Amino acid sequence: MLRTGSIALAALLGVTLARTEARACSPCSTGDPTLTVTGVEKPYEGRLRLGAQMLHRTASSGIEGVDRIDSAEQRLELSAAWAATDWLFVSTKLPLVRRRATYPNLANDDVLSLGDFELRGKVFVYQDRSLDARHLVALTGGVGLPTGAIVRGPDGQPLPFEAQPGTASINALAGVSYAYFARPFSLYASANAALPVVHRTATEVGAFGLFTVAGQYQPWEVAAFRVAIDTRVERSLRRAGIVDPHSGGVAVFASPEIVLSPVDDLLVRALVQLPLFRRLDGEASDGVSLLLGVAHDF
Amino acid sequence: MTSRGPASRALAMVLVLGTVGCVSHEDGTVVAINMSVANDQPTAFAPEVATFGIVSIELVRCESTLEAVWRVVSPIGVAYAHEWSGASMVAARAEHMKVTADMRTLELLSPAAGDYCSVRIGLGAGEGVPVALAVAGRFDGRPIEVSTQHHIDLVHELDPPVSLDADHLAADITFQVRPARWVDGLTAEMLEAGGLPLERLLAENVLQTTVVTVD
Repeated sequence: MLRTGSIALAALLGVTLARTEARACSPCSTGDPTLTVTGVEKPYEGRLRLGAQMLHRTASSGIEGVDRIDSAEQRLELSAAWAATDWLFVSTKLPLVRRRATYPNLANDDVLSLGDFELRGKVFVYQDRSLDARHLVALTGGVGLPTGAIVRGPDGQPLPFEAQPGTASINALAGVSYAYFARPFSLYASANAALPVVHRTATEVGAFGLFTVAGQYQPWEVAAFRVAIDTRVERSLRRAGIVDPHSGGVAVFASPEIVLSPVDDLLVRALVQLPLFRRLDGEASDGVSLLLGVAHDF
Repeated sequence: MTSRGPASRALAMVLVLGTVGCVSHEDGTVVAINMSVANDQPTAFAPEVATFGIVSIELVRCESTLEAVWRVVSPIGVAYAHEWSGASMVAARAEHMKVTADMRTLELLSPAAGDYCSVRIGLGAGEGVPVALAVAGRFDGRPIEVSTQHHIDLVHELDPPVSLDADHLAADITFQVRPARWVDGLTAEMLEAGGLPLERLLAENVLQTTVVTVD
């Protein structure tokens, strides 16, 4: 665990420090003034983006008055993305997670810990042109590491999954994305999957996929309006080999967002994620999520 | 202070958060189920020690008929994944209580928030517990012991219901038993004879003379 956490921190710092040459004015380098949020950046060699975002979300699982656990999470995610070439992005993400789980008897556990570290490589397999590209297709691969602590109660047993800051599993990550730019509009679509391959505890998360379609309208150089439809599909949890009846299913969210660039190379975003449709197994629900983020290109 | 000091501390903090995290816990509901033995003025019977074979203690939620039916027919089984069972205790043990206004807490339950309409103590004989209920003392000066192995449910309807929420996390429920009254209606000959009629009368007397208070 110490080694994993150290490797995660070193990777985050390594991506930050390994850029070949600082470049200001990312629109100058891409030939496109479109504001792109974290994960949608256009590549150019040596591009380095550092970001931080704060996320708040709530969820519940179980039957009220019987076995329902309500969880609230605040997450500070630090990220770094570096374009080693004009077709390869390497990105890392390390969250600090605060989770509060409230149990049916109104007892609660408040946990502060690192979350799971992610390391991804994004390969742009197609760009219609090197400057001011309109069509970009990319493949993503990576790994999620269980750098989050396994938090235990006074009896030495792990707290319920709803109180844990991470998945306690090593996850293989893969995805594909397509971006289309036609100022002042842009479109982004992606499909990402995570497959747990190693579990550290008796609670095993299921594989899950996240599908996103987002449209953006940028009437001014300094501001854009974006709305995304996110669809999350996940398999049920297993606790000691038994399927949790209150986990798994499909959920669809709408995420309207405003993106601002008050100064060159600085991006600020504010987003609210609203549950639109749920077909979750058992008794489970997601609340409204809020995100505030900032990113800077170097 | 060297320049490595703050960096070392930051790294140490990261490693702590990554290995064990920081956890704080707040307790939730606590319902104490108590039993007190009344030290009544002795009559013909002077009890000395009462023994209870406790097999279960349960706080029962208020439930409409529809809810009760749904709970039975719901496709989601009773073995909930979270295994929440804070409203009940199931384990056999014997409690020996002297008849000297003794009071003790039998169990601390931590039930889910909600309304509870009844409380139940199940008495029975089980492994390591030879009797459901027994009382030893003197009847007309002669030592006697009366007991039964038959299951007895001490059930009390809570009116008003005990409501547990964020503003009311705790409650005390006390069963006050009166061993001096357990042999009411019994003669020395009946006590000598023993048998099922005696045990039945004993059980009835216990149920009729037990008083439950809620704080």
